[in-house]
Amino acid sequence: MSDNPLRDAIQQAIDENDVILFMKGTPEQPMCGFSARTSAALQSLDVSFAAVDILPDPRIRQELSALSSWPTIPQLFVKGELVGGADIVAELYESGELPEVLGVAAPAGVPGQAGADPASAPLTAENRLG
Amino acid sequence: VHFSAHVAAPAFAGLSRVQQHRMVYDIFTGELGSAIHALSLKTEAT
Repeated sequence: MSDNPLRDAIQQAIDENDVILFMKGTPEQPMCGFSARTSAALQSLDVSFAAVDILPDPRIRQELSALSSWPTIPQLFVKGELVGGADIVAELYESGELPEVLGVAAPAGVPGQAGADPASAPLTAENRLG
Repeated sequence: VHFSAHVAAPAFAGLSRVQQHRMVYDIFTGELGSAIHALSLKTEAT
């Protein structure tokens, strides 16, 4: 653990969720067109993903970008790796590569892990199953 | 402010999309997310 609890919480959320999207707003109520398109692409593929709203605290975005070396939101991580932002996800979606990247094409998938510890405020990861 | 750019460069060869986009983002350090709200990128190796 570093001396930065928020960064640790973000890293933990990335580690604990096979597919996790950091976005502005929520999949139901996205607050930015780029976040809206990215979460819509995931939802259309019927993939379970954790969604983290970065808006409640500006430090979430700061720490996330420091950790990922990626300046913009949204950011999609799969199995701990940054897949990309809105442009890359759109490219993967249009080329048909996204399901493979997300691992949803794989047969007999292992059930996803539960969401991050809700006690790790102000970072809240909402687990979206099904 | 939103910008959109299509960047093609030999330097992208062999790099992942994420690495290619990072190279472009690095040029705008500190401006992306503040002065520039978003930069839509399409990168391509030449």
